[in-house]
Amino acid sequence: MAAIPEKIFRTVEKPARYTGGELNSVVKKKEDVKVRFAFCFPDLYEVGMSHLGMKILYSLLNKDEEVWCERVFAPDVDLEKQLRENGLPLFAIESRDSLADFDMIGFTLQYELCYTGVLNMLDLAGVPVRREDRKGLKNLVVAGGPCACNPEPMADFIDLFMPGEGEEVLPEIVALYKKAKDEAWTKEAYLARAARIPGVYIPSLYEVEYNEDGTIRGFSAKEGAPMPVKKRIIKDLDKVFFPENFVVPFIDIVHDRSMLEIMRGCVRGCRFCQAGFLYRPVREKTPETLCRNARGLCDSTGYEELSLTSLSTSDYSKLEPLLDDLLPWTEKEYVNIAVPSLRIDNFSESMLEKITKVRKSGLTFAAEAGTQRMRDVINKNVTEEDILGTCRRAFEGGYTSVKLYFMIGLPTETDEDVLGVIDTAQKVVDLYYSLKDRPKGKAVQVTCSVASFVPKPFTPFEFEPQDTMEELQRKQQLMLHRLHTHKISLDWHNARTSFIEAVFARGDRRLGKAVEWAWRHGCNLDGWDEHFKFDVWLRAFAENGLDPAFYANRRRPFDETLPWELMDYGVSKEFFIRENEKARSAATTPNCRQNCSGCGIAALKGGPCFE
Amino acid sequence: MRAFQRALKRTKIGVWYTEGFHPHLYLNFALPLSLGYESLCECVDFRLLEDIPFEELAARVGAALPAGFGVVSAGAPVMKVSEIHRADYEIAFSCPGHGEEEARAAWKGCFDRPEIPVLKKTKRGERVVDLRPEIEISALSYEDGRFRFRARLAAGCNETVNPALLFDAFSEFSGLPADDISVTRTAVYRENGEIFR
Repeated sequence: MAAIPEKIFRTVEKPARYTGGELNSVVKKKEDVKVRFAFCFPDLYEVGMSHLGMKILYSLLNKDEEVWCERVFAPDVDLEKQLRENGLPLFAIESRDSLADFDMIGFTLQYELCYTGVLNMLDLAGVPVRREDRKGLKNLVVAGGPCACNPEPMADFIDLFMPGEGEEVLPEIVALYKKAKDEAWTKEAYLARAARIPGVYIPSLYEVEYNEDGTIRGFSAKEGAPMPVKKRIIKDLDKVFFPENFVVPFIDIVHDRSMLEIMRGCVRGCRFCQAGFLYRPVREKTPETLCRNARGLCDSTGYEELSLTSLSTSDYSKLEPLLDDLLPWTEKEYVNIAVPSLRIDNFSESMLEKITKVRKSGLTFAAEAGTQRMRDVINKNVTEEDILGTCRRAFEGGYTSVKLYFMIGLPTETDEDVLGVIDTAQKVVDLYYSLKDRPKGKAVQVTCSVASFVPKPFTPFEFEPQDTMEELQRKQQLMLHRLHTHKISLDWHNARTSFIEAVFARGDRRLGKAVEWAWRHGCNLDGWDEHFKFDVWLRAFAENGLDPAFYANRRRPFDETLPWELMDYGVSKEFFIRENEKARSAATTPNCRQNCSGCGIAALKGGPCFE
Repeated sequence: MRAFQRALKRTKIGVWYTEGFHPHLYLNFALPLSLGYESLCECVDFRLLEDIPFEELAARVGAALPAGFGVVSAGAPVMKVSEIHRADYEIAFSCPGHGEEEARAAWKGCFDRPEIPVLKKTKRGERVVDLRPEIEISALSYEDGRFRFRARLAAGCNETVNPALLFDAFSEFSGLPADDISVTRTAVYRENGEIFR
């Protein structure tokens, strides 16, 4: 401690991002522990502290008396400047010790645009960014999170990846590290042994060969490392570890509330949605467990909001019983229940009433596409009637604004589909004014948030080209010209950001050079528009002989070997091919509860998903 | 504010919530403290809905607060927030790149003037105020490269002087920098000099 002078904190914005001391943060004596683990989130405190996975794994690791897990976030540019000018290292919040003092440095990779942030954080503590330059066992860099499903663009930097769910595998690799440290193993010996733990991918143990056209010829594994690497899943979600408390920040963060994960996975099979396939199979927690966890969290944090999270909360089969269990005490204690990720087709009036009991929060629905044909292509399985029916209930329940999510750049999309976004929003506006019971004297506000589609690994669209930036920008202008009212507000993602995201989402190992080049030339915090340097990224590709369009805008034949075929997420490529072909003919697939489509996940689960 | 609201919530002591669409636990800090300052004497008002001895209230809230916060005492409000008139501070700073004597002379030159004009920026705009009648400051002491002094500054609804304003005046007058400023509020008074309660 005290390596970082207090005066540094007085000169930066929001010092509470870095000063620690928050309620429920864990402070141990470093002499008393065997392994020090730095849990790093390669984005700002407000983003990282909102992440449920980090809260779970932080508590889980700290349950072990021999392990001290601390938090490290990307510093904002003002603190980074101070650190670099004063020759100070990036530090962990709890001990303020340098990141370089830690045995294990773990990153969660939530989105592709955080990759330069990983390098920057390591470098700020003087830890070499490339794995081959870190010789010893100390400073072992490990990573998990959704991007671990295609870890190849980060393979030059990370020693060990954990594809899949972390609650079991993370303590296993930490336990092995304890043994390795006790017995003074080399880094190579540790990695070779760790490769035998299911759900562990060690990039140094694999080699990739390429064809002349730049596609992948094949992979080979060394020292008996598994191929492919199977993701880990928690078989009994109801019994999995869940923290009794959260670290409670002093400053406002993105999701500043108690969060409960009510289920993992999603039954829907929307063809664009990577999470929907990555987190299969669907597993639910029981209302009893959730109610107990909710109580514990609210008591230990003092939060006045409780969020029920999952990929599609209204698909949780026991949502109404759960709300009935929660409401008696949440209402009494002024705890508001937030239910994000509601589907537009099963949102009932009684639910609306229940979630607005204490405080009313915003309503957001994902329509995803503007025409029925397009929604069928992506297997969204909602109709215009669903959309209008739900908005009607919301307006009749006193709401005057709704937010709708859409995407453009989807496979097979025509201009008619793009204009359908605005037409759908216009129908919602017209609906409001047709209602006799609408809130009197108030104008309606429909917000359309339009993302550019990014094809992702382990989805039926993993073979698809992304629309070029020019095409996406043309479609954005097309929507803008269709818009004739201030009652609809339209916002969209920067097409350039989506392009870089697309390159890395389906990238291979060769892209590591571009990540490092871009970072060395100033790229960092790329997820923030004000820091995103598109021209530097383009140069990073050009300087390293890489064509970004090869990764973003190219259609892959079904028989091409894809970089993420090193991983087995339980859903078969044959299933994705079948779904891709159905998408081309706008044929839908029923949800998993209605009918099993044989995606392959049941084998990983060891039995059918639904009895 | 948030830290205190959540601590009160964790104690489960019955307190009054505002009514309306967004009920929230009602708290009022008498003299909000600027970011980065320490204090030994903050006053906060809230309304109890149950009978609880003040000693117990102080102990339970104190136990629920994050490390570094403590409750000095609890009691019924004696004075009105509008009666706040002055606050005491202990302040330290350094003057990098300039020697002790030079900085002392500049400090004296600034604060011995019969009028000490300084530009004060508020939400309502900018205006020049004269600090002279609003401040009493002790002599500077010097140790390990930092100056220390005590200051009694105007506080409350009529006029408030934030310690940062002293350094604005100093730097503007002398052209010297003030760095590594630390501020601790030590007491709050009403006009007759009584400690505010």
